[in-house]
Amino acid sequence: MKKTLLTLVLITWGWVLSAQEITVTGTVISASDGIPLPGVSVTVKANPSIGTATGIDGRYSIKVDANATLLFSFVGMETKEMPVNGQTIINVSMVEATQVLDELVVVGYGIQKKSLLTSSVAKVGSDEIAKTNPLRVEQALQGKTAGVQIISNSGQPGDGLTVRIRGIGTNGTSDPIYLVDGMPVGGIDYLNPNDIESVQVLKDASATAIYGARGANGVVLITTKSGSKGKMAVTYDYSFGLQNAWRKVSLLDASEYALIMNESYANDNAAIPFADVASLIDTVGSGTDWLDELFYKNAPVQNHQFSVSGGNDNSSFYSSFSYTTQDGIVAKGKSNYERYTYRINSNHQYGKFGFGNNLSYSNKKNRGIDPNAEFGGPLAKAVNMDPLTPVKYADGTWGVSSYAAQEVVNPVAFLSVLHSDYTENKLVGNVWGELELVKGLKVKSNFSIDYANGNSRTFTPVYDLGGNIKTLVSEASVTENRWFTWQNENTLSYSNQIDLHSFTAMVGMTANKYHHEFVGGRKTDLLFDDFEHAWINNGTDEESYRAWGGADEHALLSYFARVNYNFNEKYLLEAVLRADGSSNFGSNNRFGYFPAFSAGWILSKEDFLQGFTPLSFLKVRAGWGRNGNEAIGAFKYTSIIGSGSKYTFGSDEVITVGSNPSGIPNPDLKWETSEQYNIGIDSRFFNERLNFTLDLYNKKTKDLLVVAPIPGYIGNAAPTVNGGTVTNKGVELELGYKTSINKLDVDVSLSGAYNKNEVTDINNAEGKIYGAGLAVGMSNICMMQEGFPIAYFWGYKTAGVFQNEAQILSYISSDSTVIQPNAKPGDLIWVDKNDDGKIDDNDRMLIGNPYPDFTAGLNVNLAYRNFDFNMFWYGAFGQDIFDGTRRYDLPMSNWNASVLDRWTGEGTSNSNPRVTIADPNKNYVNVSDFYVHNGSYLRLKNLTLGYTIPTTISQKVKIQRMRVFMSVSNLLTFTSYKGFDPEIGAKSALDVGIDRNIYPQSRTFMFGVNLNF
Amino acid sequence: MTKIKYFAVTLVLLLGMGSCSQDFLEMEPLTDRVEGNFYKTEKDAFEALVSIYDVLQWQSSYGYHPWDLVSNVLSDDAFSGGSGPGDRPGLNRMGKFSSYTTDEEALGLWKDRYSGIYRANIFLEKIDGIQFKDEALKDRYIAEARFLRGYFYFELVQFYGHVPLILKTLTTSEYKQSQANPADVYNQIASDLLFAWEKLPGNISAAEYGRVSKWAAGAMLARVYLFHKGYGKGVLGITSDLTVDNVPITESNIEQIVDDIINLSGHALVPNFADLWGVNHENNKESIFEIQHTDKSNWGDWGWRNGTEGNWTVVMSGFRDVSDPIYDLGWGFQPASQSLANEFEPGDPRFSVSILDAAAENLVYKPQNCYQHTGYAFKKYYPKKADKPLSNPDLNWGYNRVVIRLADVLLMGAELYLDNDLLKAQGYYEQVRKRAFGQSHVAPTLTNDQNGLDLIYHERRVEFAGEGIRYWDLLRRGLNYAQQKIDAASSASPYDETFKPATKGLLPIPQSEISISGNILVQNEGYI
Repeated sequence: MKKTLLTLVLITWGWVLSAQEITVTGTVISASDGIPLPGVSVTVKANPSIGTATGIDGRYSIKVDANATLLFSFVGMETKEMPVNGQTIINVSMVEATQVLDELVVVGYGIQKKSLLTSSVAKVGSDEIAKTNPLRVEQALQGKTAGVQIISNSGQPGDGLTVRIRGIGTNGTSDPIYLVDGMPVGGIDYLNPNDIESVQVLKDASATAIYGARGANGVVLITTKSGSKGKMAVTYDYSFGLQNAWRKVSLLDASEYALIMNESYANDNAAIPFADVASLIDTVGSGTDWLDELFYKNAPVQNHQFSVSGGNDNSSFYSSFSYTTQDGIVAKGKSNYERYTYRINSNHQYGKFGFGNNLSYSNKKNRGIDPNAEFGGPLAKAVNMDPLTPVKYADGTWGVSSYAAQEVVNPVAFLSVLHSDYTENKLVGNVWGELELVKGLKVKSNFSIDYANGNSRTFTPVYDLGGNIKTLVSEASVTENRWFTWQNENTLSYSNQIDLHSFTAMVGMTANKYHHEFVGGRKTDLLFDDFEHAWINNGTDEESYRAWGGADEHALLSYFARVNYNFNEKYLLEAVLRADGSSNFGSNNRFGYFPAFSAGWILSKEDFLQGFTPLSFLKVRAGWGRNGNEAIGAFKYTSIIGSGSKYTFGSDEVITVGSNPSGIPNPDLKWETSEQYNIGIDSRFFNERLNFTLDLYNKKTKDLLVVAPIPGYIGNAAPTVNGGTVTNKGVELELGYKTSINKLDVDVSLSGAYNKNEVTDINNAEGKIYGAGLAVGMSNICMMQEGFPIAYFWGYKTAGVFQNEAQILSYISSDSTVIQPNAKPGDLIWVDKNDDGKIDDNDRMLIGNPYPDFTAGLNVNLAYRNFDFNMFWYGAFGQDIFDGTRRYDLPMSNWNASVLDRWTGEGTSNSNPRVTIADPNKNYVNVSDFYVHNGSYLRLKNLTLGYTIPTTISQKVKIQRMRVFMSVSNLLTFTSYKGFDPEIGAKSALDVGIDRNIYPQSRTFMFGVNLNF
Repeated sequence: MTKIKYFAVTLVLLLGMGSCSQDFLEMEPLTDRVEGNFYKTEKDAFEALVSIYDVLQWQSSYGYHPWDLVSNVLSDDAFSGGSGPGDRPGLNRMGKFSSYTTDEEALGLWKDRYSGIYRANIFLEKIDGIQFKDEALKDRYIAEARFLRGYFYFELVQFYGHVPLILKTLTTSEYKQSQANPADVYNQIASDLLFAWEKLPGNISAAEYGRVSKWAAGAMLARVYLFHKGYGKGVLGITSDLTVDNVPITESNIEQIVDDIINLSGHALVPNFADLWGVNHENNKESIFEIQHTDKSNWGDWGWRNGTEGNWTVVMSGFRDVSDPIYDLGWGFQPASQSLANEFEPGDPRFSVSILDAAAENLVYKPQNCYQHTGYAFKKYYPKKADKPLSNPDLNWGYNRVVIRLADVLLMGAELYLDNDLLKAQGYYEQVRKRAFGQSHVAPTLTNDQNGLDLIYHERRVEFAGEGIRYWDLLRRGLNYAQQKIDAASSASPYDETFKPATKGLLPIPQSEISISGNILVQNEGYI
C-alpha cells in the first residue's frame, strides 16, 4: 500500500514539470447583483479538460495557451466565451440562463462536472429545497430524484423517514449513509433545511464504492451553505401553518356496534350482549367518536429562520439561526416537536493555503406517542375502543370500558397519563485545511466531530384505566445518552492535463471512532403528582432507587484511491478502490476491499452527431462496483456473556446474578457485499430545454447478515451468519423541460423509477426468514424467502365466501376430501395450495408486496412576473398494505365501518365473511388476503403560490426583496386504501407495510414570508 | 527540497494511522464479557450455574405457560379460562387437547427447557477447565447442574414424549437432531438425578434456600420412577426398566430413597395445612424443592418477561375485575373445575385453603368477564392485596412455587409400598390424612388393589389441588383412566374440554422445530 502510493506520487510529480502556458486570473460576478460567484467552471474551449473553478471569492486562476478561448459556465447561468488574446486578467459577469448547462456535483472526496460523471448521481439544490418549505431535509428529496424512495414513518412531528435508494437490498439496516460536509452522521433531522446548499445522492456502486463498507445502501452527501464575497446578505423567513388530518377513518357508531356484536354472538349461538338496543341508544345516542376525541384540530406549525452571510477577498462566512415548532394532529400536547438550530460556516484562502470550518448546534425536544403500534398506540386504542363508553362519566371520572380489554382502554384517559419527553443537543463540526503543494497537487486534512447528548424523561402517575393499563405507584425516570464520534480524513489529490489527456488521481485515508454511553435512574412514590416535578429526588421510596448505564464503541479505518481519466472530455474512465477495516468484524475478516470501474462516452462531441441539431448533449455511461454494509452491530462474531440471568436464593430473597452466552457465536462473520451494474444515458435536447436521463441497474447484495433460525433445541439464540442474496433491478428516468413563454417561465420535471426486488438465496434449511407479525396472534405476516420480494406478505389466499352448505361440501381436494368440513355458510374459502385436503401453514403463499413497483414525482414550477407557483405530485404504485388495525383477539373491539358489508345470508357478500366471536373457521385469525389492500396512492404533496412584492415598494422599508407565499401540503390524495394513511413506513427490514393504525400525514395550510435585507 | 518535505509530511499524515490499525480496530465490549474471557474462576462457575437456575422461573417465553398452570389446564382440575376463547387461544386449545402445532405455548415450553439444558451442558463442558480450591464444591456445582438438566428433560419428556436428547453444546454440523428413544431420555434423567442424589449436600442453609439438595434429587427420582413405570411403560410402550450405567433402578431402590427422605432428611409435614402457603411460609420444612420467585426485582419489561423474577401463575389465576379488601384481581385463567370441588370430602379443611369459592367468600368481581367461569379459583397462589408488588404487579408476584414437598413423598411411598408393605403404606398415607383432618382422624384403610390406589389418588388430588400434579397422575394410570376422568369434568360448551387419546396426552412438537430442522423431527400422533 505504502509503496504503491509513493510510486503514484512520484509519477504524478513528473507530469507537473511539462506545463508551459500563461496564467490568466480574474473574478467572476453575477450580472444581476454583482455578487462574486464561487464554483464557476472555467475551461479552455478547445480542450475542455483544462479547467478550474472559481473560489469562494469568485476568483480563478488558470494556465492556458495565450490564444485560447475560455469558457465560463455555472449552474443556472449562460455559458460565456472569452478569448484570451494574451490578457492575464479577465473579469467576467454572468447572466442567468433558463437552462442548466454544466453543473458541478459533489462526489465522494471531491467535486466533478456533471457532464463528466460516469456514475449515477442525483442532485437537489438549495433553490429546490426552498420551494416546499420542508421541516426536514428528507422531505425535500422526496420525488425529486428517481430511484430514491422516501416514506414518512408516520405523521408524527419529528418522526423519521425511511429512505431507500434503489430498492431494499438487505434484511438489516438499509438506510443510506449521510455525510454532512464529509462527516458521517446517523441522521439528518438536526439540520435546518435552509442551511443546505446541495444534496447529492450517489446511487450506483461506481459512485459509492469510495465509501466502501458503508456504501451498499447508497450515499447522501450534504453540503452546507457558505457565504460569498460582497455585501452582507441577511435573510429572514417566517412561516405559519395549520394542520389537520387529511381524512378520518370510519368506525361503527353505538347502534352499529351493538348490531354487529349481537350478530357475532348470535352466530356463535351465544347469548347476545345487548338485548335491548333501543334503550341503549336512548342512553348513549350515537356513542363516543374516539377519533374525534383524539385528533387535534388546526394543530399549529411555525418556523423562523434567520441567516447572515458575506465575505471579502480572503474569507467568507455563513451563519444562521432557526426555530421550529410543530404540534401533532393526534394527541394534543403529547405529540409535538421543537427545534433550535444554529450554524456558523467560514472559509478562508491565503495564497495556496485554504482552510475552513463548519459548526452547527441544534437542540430539539420531542414528545411522542407510539405512532404505529397495535398495543401501545393511542390510535389503536381509539379504533378498537367500543363507542358505548363515554370519555368521562357525569362525576368527572374517566370512562372505563366494560367491553374492550387488555390494552384497549379509554384513549383520552390514556393520553392524560402519558408524560415523557426527549431532548437532544447536538454539535456537529469540522475544520479543514488544504494546501496546494505544487500546481495541481493538493493535500487536504479534515477533522470532524459529532457530539450529541440525549435526555429522555418519563413520569408515570398512579392510574387504573381498566384492562391491564394501570400502575400502583408513581415513578420518575430519566436516561441520559451521550454520543461522540471523531473523524480524521486526509487526502492527496493531483490533476493534470497532457494534450487532450486529462486526469485526476486521489488517495486518502480516514479514521473514525464512535463512542456511546448512557446512564439512567428511577425512583418511585413521588412527592408531587405532575411531570414538572417528576425528578428522581422527589421519589420517596428509598428501596425503589434503580440506576443503569453502559457504553459501546465502534471504529473504522479506511484507505482509498481514485483515478479519473478523460480524453478530450469525450471518453471518460474512472477507477476506485477502497480498503475498509471495521471493529464490527472478527480478526478473521477485519478488512474488506471494494473496487469500482466506470466509463462514459460523450457522443454529442463526436463528429457524426454534430449535424443533428435537436441534440445538445448525449452521454452514455456504464459502471460496475462493489460495496459493503458493516452495520450489523458490534461483537456479533463472538459470544457475549450476558449477565441478565438472575435467580433468587435464600430466606432474604437475594437476587443473584447468573451469566451465560447470550447467543451462538460465528467467528467468520463478515460484511454484506453489494455488487451493482449501472448503464445510463444523460441527454439534453432542443437547445437544452429538454433533458432526459435514463438509468438501468442490477444490484445484487450478497452475504446478507441473517439470523438464520436454528431449532429451539440448540438452546440459545441463533448466530448471525452470512447467508442470503437479494437482487434489485430497476429503471430510473428523469425528464425535465424548461421554457419561457413571454413572461411565463415554465419548469416541469418528472422522475420515475421502477424497481423489482427478489430474494435469490437464503442459506438456511427452509430458505426463509420469518418477519414481523402482529403481536395479537398473527405470526409472520412478512416473510423473506427465495424467489420472492423481500418482506412479502405471507398468508392464506381466499376464494370468496361460502354461500351455503352445499358449497362447503363441494369444496374438495383432488382426492375428494372436503377441505373445510367445519365451515359454516358465511365463512371464508381458503385456497388449499398444496391440494392435500386441509388448510395449514403449508398453504400460505404470497398475498402481497409492501414495496411499490413504481414511484414517480412530478414537479411543476411556474413564474409569471412577480408570481411563483410550485406544484409537486408524488405517487407510489403497486404496493400492498396489511390492515392490522383491529384487535380481533379482543372480541368486543370496535370495527371499521366496512364490516357493515359482511356476509349476512346467501348472496350478500363474496368477500367479507360473517361476524363471529368464536371464529371457528379462523376468518379473522388467519393471516390472509382478506387483510391485504392495494396501497397505491397519488398525492399532491405540495402546492405553493408566492408573490414577490415589487422592489419599488419593499425598498421603501429597506427590504431588498420580500416574498409572501401560501402553500398546502397533502391537499389531495388518491388512494383506494381506507385506513388512516397509505404512507406506512418500515419498522424494520422485515416489518414493512403493516398498518397498526398509523399516525397519519397532516394536511397543512401554510402562510409565510421571505425577507432579504 | 521543500517539495520533498511536503511529501514527507503528507505521507506521514496519510499513512500514520496505518501502523496502529490493528489496535485501533481491536475492541472488546465495554459492558459485557465474551466467551473467551469467561469460565475461568470459581465465581464464573457459580454465575454460570445460576444461569441454569434462572430458567426454572421462566414461564412466558412465547405466550404464557407456567408449568403448574398448563398442567392444571390439561387435567380435570381446571379449564383454561381467561377473558374469552380468544384470550391466549393456544391455552384454550391446549385445554381441549386440540393444540395447533403452531401454538406459541407449545413452543415456549419446549424452548425454555432446552435453554436450561444448553446452559447446563455448556456449564458441564466448561467446569472441567476451572480450578477449584475445594473439589467438593466443584462436585456440588456439577451435581446441581445435572439435577437441573435432568429436571428439564423430565418436563420435556412429560410434555412431548419424543424429544432430541442433547448432552453437549452443538456445532453447526450437528444442528440436525432426531428424536431419541424415550427410554434413553428417561435413563439419562435417572442418571443425572442419581448423580445428584449421590453428590449433593442434604442440608441447605437458610441463606441458600432455592439450591437443590440431595433430598430434592431423591424425591424427583421417585417421581420420575413412577411416571416412567406408569406412563413410559404403560403408554409409550417402553419395555426396559429405568437404567443407569446398565444397572436397572429397582422399586426397592426407590423405596429406600423415599424412606431416607422421610426418615433422615429433616423435612417434616407442616402441622397446619394452611401454613404451607403464602409469602411467610416459603421454603418451609415440608418443602423439598421450591422454585424461587420474588417481588424484590420489581422490574417491568413486557418485552422480556423472563427477565422478571415474578410468578405469572399468580396474576393469571385471579378472577377478573375483583374489588375486595383481601383478594386482588387477575386474568381469570385456570378456573378450578366443579369436579375438583366435588372431590373434597365434606369438612376437609384443605378445600378452603386450596380453592377460592367466590360465592362462599362473597367476592365482588365480574364473573361475566371470566371465560369458562366456575366460581372457583385456585387459592394457594391466588393474588392477595397484601402481597401485591408495588410496580408492574402483573410481572412481579413473588410467590414461590413448590415443586415437591414431603406430603408428595409420603403419598408416593404409600403407593410404592402398596404391593409389598401395606402397613408402611398405610402409615405414610395416614400422616397426610391426619395432618389435614387432625390426629384423631380415622383414615380409610389401604388395600393392595385398585381401591387402595384410588384412595391414594383421591388423596393426591385434594392434597395437591392447583399444584400441577394431577394431570401427570392421570396419565400414569393410562389413557383410558385419564380420558374417563377428564371427560367427566367436561360438560357443554364452553366447558367442552375432552381428552383426545390419539395424542397420548402429549403436546404437539412445535411446527417451527420440525420445519427448521428440515422435517427430521416427527410430529406426535394426533396432531396434524
